[in-house]
Amino acid sequence: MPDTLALQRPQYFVANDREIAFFRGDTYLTALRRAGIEIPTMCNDPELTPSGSCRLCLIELENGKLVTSCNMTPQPGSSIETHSQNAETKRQTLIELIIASHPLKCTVCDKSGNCDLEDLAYDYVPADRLTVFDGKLPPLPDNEVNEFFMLDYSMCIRCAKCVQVVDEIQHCGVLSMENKGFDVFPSTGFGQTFHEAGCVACGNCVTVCPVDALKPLSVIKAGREPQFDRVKTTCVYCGVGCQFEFVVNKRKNQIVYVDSVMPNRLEERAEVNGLSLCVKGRFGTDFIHHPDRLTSPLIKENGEFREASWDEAFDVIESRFKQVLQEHGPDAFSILSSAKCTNEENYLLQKFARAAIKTNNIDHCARLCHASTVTGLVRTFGSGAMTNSIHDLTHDADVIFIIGSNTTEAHPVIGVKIKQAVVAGTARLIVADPRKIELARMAEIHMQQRPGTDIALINGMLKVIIENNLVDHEFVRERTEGYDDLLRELEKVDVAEMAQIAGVQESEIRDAALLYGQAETAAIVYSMGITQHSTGTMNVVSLANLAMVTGNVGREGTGVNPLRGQNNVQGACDLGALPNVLPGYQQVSDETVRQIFSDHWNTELSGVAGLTVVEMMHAAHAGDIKAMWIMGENPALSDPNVNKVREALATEGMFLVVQDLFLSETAKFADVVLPASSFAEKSGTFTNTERRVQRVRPAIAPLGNSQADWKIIAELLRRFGIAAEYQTPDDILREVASVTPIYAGITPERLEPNGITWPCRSEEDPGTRILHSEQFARPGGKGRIIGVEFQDAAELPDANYPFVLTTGRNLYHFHTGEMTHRSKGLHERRPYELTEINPIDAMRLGIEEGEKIRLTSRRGTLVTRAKIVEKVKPGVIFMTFHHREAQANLLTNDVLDPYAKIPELKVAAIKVERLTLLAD
Amino acid sequence: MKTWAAVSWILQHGSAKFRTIGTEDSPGTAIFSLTGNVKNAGLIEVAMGTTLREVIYGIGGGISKDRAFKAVQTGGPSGGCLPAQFLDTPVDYKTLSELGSIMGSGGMVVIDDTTCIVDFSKFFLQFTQQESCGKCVPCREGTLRMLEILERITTGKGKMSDIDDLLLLAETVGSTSLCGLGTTAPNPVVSTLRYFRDEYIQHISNRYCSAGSCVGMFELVIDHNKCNNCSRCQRGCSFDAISGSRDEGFLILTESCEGCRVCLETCPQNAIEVFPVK
Ligand code: SF4
Ligand code: SF4
Ligand code: SF4
Ligand code: SF4
Ligand code: SF4
Ligand code: FES
Repeated sequence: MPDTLALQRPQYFVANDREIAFFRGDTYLTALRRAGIEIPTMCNDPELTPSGSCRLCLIELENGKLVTSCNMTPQPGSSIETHSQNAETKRQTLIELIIASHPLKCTVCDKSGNCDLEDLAYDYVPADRLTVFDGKLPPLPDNEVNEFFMLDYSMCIRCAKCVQVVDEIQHCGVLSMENKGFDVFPSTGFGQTFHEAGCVACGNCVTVCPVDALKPLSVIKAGREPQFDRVKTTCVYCGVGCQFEFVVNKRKNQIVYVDSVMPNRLEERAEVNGLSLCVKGRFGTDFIHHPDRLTSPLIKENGEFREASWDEAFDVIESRFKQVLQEHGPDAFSILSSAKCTNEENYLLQKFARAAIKTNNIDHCARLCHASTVTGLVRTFGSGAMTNSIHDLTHDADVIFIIGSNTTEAHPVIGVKIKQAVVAGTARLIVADPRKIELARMAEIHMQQRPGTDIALINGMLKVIIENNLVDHEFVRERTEGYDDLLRELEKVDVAEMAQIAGVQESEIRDAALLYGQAETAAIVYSMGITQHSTGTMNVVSLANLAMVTGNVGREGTGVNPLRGQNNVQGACDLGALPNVLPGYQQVSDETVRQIFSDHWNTELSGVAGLTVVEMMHAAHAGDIKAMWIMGENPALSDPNVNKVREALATEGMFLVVQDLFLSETAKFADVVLPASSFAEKSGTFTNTERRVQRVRPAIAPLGNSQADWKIIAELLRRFGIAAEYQTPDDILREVASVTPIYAGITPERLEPNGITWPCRSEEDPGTRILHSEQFARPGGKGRIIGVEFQDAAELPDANYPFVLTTGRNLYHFHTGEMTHRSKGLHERRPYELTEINPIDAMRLGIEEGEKIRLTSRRGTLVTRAKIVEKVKPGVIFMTFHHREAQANLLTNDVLDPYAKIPELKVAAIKVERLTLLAD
Repeated sequence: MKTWAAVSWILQHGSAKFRTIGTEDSPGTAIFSLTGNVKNAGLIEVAMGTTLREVIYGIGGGISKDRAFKAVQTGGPSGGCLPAQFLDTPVDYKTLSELGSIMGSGGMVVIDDTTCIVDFSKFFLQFTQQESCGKCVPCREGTLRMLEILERITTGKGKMSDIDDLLLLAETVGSTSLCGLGTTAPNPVVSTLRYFRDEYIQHISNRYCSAGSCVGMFELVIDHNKCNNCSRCQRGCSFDAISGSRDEGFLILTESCEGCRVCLETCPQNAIEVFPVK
């Protein structure tokens, strides 16, 4: 990486009579490339160990010997030639050899124009030698064709890069080289399909294939490189914030496929993800072109939607909003912003709520995922965000403790990096999760706790840490307060009892505590398994306690790291799409802060905190909300107890505006529907889970008559007399910087190449990778340790509802599936819900694999299909909330955490019945 | 193995004594596995610097059936092939490698004038080609293409450019392969091309295999001056391609001969001679 290179003193060698600097870790190839000298390669990727298999990267040493530059450490003072006659002749022969085993179908090949082999053949092989070595062809096993990509063996040049990705990056174990000599080929073994062999369709092997062998299905006959543009952008699916390229057929205004951004120097690869993507990012963006996309504003008349012009739609909204404002005042408004939208859009929408309407009733779905992270971490650390970076989590942590995060499915690229760290032996892994998730198999200790018992587990660990004198007393003394409070609380705690509550072995808690407590650097990673509880805030506080007591905060490889779900949930929070804070977590109740914004926006602001998502729905249900504007969210499917939400949305006399890509369940209730442009059609920024602000760039023109959300909001701001003369979202970002201290140095110009991590307080500030390294963000600078007492989930199983339902996600879908079910491949891979039930329970109830079952809670009932797996313990049922035909949120409990107002989505008591009659 | 045997000897007798055996650069002895067309085949140990002639004609007892010596391949499949002009060469590391061969695994295969040199190098290349692990391009792809060219030449389908391509491939495989298997694989081809280039050219331009080995590329004729009418050739021929009787003498019927060489090999008088196809 460039900044670490700068710290080293370079050494030198001479290439082609030119002095070349090199550093520790360089090979001749990497040093030459940094100096701008190109050398052909066919088997090399800077993220893979040099395999030395293509032999094209030859250089000639002083003694006339040819060596491969990709795997040789430079000798200081040596002198080499990169393109000597000898090396060039050999290269030519090598390329002639490769093409002898490869059908040169460039004229009809999808890869043409983007093919390393085609380019090299062009450069090196005279036309009359194209077929000199033709003869026997390599073996031709059956081709792989799945929902996402294919492997055409007739094109494979057996470079083994795909296998290296499997072994070194993805650790999926799907491919290895079968046979030897001329008969080798990459294979799943035993004639399995990729899927059967465990492929999760990340496509990372596909992306490195230098020829037309492994390729996404969507490239087939879709045009070729010269017709394409490549636009680098940020993935819209999850909080990892992977960088990728849209490959676009400009003439057709169509996205052809998603490619990794792969410059051939490591230091130029995206810091977040390198070449890695997951199935959703790589193969799941075809929803953008789905025929269901809304292409025109819709106005509901007599219960039916009709198409309308933008002007008409804006007129209706303006007049109805103004009418409500006049008749019922600002707090009759509820505005839902979106974690899918850009920072700029979130900023504008909260500005609309606060400046145009003068209400703080603005919130978004972070409420449903990480509100308790914010309340919990603000209380303890003073700032509610991931404390460390993805990179230092996976490179510097000796121990990683994952609790309530199914990382490989929900944050796949972080999951894979954790796998890499474990496989490489740099990190030891502890997992606490009610299910045997993939990472649990790699963990040294897996505690399979009963849903909703995390505090018991962590209190048990804290007790063991204190008993074994693993407390970092200096850290506790210098950097924190409240330790005594914790000690008092822990006096009541008995480890055996905690283990019993959590349903795990006492020894597991002890082992985990020792492993975590003794580590030089230990990082906690968590997600919604911690936050979505009625004790969510206190769950988070417990984790903060654990980190502070052991001094695991503020250093590389430590910290408390909530993985944020939606692509821009971090940014939506940062930019004030929350009812109690203005952009940059500045309290609305703070008069000085309000004054700054008042001056800037040229209007008065309300100092009363607004309603949260669930409270808004309750208020609407009670008839207190008269106008609601929902941007890009789908509460009719995503929120707990959706029956009640739907009644709220249907409330007579409430004017509802919904702005979305599709006519979602929620949009169906709307009076006016506005067609928004997707992330591929607009520019702006997203902030990923590690607080990194990254670019979103337009790849295609807005589809149909859709408009970018920021343009829609800006128009309404103007109609309410608030200045909004933004030419581009960059203008908005500059305004953000001027009022948001933690974003003050984040300007459009500074976002290349890898974005900036907030807090970034001035244009000179490089950004902050690790929070709380000197002092905590709380007033006074000390971290606060708070003793937490275990408390049961709000609803426990009983005779009538004997099972615990816990909800979550799977790899192939996102959120309510609005996007993923409209992606052909993702939908085909997982078309419907498969609810997990333990074999013992299934046997007791006589349920067979795939059979339809009825689940009922005190709030609702649904029918789903059973998947019988050991992954869940007896008594626990797991389902996702991705599927329309089996909406988990009909069952979930909307009881709230008192501080964060986050609902208890992770624990509900249900009963399970067999549905013999409905089974098909 | 050989090293350990030497080590124990050196421990017993001291290295000064060891150095008195052999040459200055290659002290001590060498063990060979002498095989092929020699009268006495087997494992032999000789002092470094012993000449090839001493080995082959002395210890080996000369060429089987007293045919003409053609070449000796030292060092196994990755070694090289030396023609008669080097029979008086001393066997040691340095000299062998100067001539394009190696001591290598200690293999020493002697061939006579009925062995085709192209076929001989194909035999060795086939072995290494099958042993290739398939990781690197030159060895995986190059050895096969070399083999295909040799195959072409030995079936009368060679072209003159094949010789250049063979050399090009040999050089590329030899200088760019990832491991020793690949870098030494072309040695038999390189050394035979060096010393027997004419025989390659004969195969290509005259479609003639003077060793009487490549099917369809030679004719067999009985030299009646040597023939003693023993009839072994006629009895051995599976194709009824030899007419005549012990009284009137024997004649090979070219149109029936399949080129199986049984007669050539069984004739005790070495009376069967090889000619180009008419
Ligand atoms: S993969 Fe490359 S070299 Fe092969 S046919 Fe396609 S464009 Fe040509
Ligand atoms: S697509 Fe991903 S999971 Fe599947 S084989 Fe390739 S690297 Fe492995
Ligand atoms: S499929 Fe592609 S990456 Fe894999 S070995 Fe073949 S050519 Fe290489
Ligand atoms: S890990 Fe997240 S950000 Fe990366 S490609 Fe997958 S969904 Fe997109
Ligand atoms: S040279 Fe070595 S590494 Fe290369 S294919 Fe041959 S045996 Fe394998
Ligand atoms: S790039 Fe060095 S051997 Fe392929």
